[in-house]
Amino acid sequence: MRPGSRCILSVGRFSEAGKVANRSRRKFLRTFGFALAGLAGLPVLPGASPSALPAAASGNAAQNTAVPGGHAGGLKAGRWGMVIFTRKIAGVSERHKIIQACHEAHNVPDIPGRHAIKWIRNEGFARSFAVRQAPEELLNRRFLLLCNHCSNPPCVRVCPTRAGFKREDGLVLVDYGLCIGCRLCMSACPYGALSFNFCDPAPYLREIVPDFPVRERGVVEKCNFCVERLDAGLQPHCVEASGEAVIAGDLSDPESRVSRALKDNYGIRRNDPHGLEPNVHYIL
Amino acid sequence: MISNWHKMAKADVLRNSPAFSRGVLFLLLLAVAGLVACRAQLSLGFQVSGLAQTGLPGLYEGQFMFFSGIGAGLAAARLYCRLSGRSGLDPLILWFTFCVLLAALSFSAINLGRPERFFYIFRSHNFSSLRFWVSLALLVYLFITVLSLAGFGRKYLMFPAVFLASAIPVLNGLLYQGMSEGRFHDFPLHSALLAPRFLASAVSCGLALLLLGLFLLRNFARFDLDAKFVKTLAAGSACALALNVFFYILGAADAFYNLSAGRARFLLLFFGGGDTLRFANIAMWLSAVLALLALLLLLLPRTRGNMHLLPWSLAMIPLSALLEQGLNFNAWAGYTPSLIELLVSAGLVSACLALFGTGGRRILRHALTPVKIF
Repeated sequence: MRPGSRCILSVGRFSEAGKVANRSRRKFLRTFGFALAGLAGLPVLPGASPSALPAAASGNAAQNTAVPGGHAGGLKAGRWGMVIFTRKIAGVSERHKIIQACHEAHNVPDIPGRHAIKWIRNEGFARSFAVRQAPEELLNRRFLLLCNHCSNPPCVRVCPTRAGFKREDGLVLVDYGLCIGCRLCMSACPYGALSFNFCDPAPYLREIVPDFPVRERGVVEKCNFCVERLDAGLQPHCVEASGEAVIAGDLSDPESRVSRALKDNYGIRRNDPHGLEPNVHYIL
Repeated sequence: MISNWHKMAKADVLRNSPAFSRGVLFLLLLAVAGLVACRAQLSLGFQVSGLAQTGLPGLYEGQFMFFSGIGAGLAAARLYCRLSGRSGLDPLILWFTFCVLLAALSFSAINLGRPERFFYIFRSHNFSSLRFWVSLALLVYLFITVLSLAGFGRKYLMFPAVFLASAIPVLNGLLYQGMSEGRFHDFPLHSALLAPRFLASAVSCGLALLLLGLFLLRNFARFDLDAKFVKTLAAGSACALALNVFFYILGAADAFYNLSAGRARFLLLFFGGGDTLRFANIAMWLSAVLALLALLLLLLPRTRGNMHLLPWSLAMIPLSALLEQGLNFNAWAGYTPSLIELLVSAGLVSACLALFGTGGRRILRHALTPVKIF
């Protein structure tokens, strides 16, 4: 210690330092112990937040918070799903037509390079299904990848603002007005179905469709299963553009077209080791 | 005697120090450069950042975790000061906590695509989102810190502050786990080990940075630190660091015996990974060496008691954490921060350092009399 100076850390001590400090320390520890015990007991109180946590951990949080959906005159389903007959769209032009129909109708910008936005994209078998060994023909085939509208969507669970939400009919959607651009949903989605608007998308739009909103810079977007068309009683754009190669319908109805297609054909889904239950099926 | 010292100390800190002014001016210039870069990012979007390489967490997220961890770790220092009857240091620690939490929240906001919507996290909350809980804990902790600084219920607000400070690194650890390598499913580390490791790391970094801050302020305001106090805090930091290293080694052992893809990525950060991970390899090894060296120097009583060596030993702890967690290497495969990101980060850190320096000096100036910051 320097001469003429005094330790500043002793400030706050009282003159009867020994006794008072000891007594107050004991009192402090006692109060602190009670407070900790009280805080530890909080979770057992009714209405305490942890009631939401087990649901989240089991992957059912999204179902618990599902919002009603569908319009009176629209198409209805218990659980929307899609079946893609991959042989029927083996050609580049067929796939391109589907992608273009979707992107043009939804004002998806054509941004080159790293900032690209994709609602539907093309990938090979190995990248699509995380399987490296398959017949040569299958390995060379390209597959259309889009949001799987999972039954237990992790993107909905991690979204801090509920911008990502799941409707009662199983559609997983993004509210662009609520999205804060934290990109946690992109981290959570194992299928890479979400894109982020790194820049203003408007300059990259060839033609703006006035019926659909143009997104802003800094928000996340993805395939919405053409919810606006379903609510108007129409089939999604990709279904219409594909001829019969892509069909959409109610997976919860065993008599629906999609359920029968899955019954009659060998269908696979994208890799699902975590029980997300994707609802897009591929007929090989 | 006491009143003499009081007068001397007051005269010392009131005296204009050119070095101090120059330092604050330099920090403010950096802050202005950061502000300009921040404006560019806000108007042009994240296309000016390096985030597009992975689209996932980068420098901002790493800095957010680093600073929120330090803010949480400082609660341990407050607790120790309170228990050892040194509550005179309370305002300074609270001020440090305030500055660090401000930096953490700023990094959290600037990491968003739409920073102006930051408060949507609370307005339209989702209880199953970790980000909501981390943001809530940080904001409440900041509020409690401000209340304590203003002199409201400082004694009793310490209980919720310590609880929140313990929760923040744990939540951060789980969030970090989720974001690592961009997938919530390919866990590169064991979740159960990551949360306590983050807590230990926060305490060790918080204590080390507090001591470093005190050493720094000592140059501009003549006061002496109680050697026993310094040694005890250094020992506390060393114990927390030892726990951190222990959990880290457990995590590494788990990665060796677990053949999942995520764990393999963790090992790649140390061994291999090609050109894309070369920088990460160097940083991770450097971080490990720094942590072990700091631990060795702080555990040995002889080196711990050496006041010339101690600042260096303490500086290695946050540096090691910054390299290992702060720069968020697990999410970094192929990611290099852009100049804009570096400028924004440097500007934010400088602004908070300038705030701490000027405010800390003011607190020291009034150290012997009760003072209200706000």
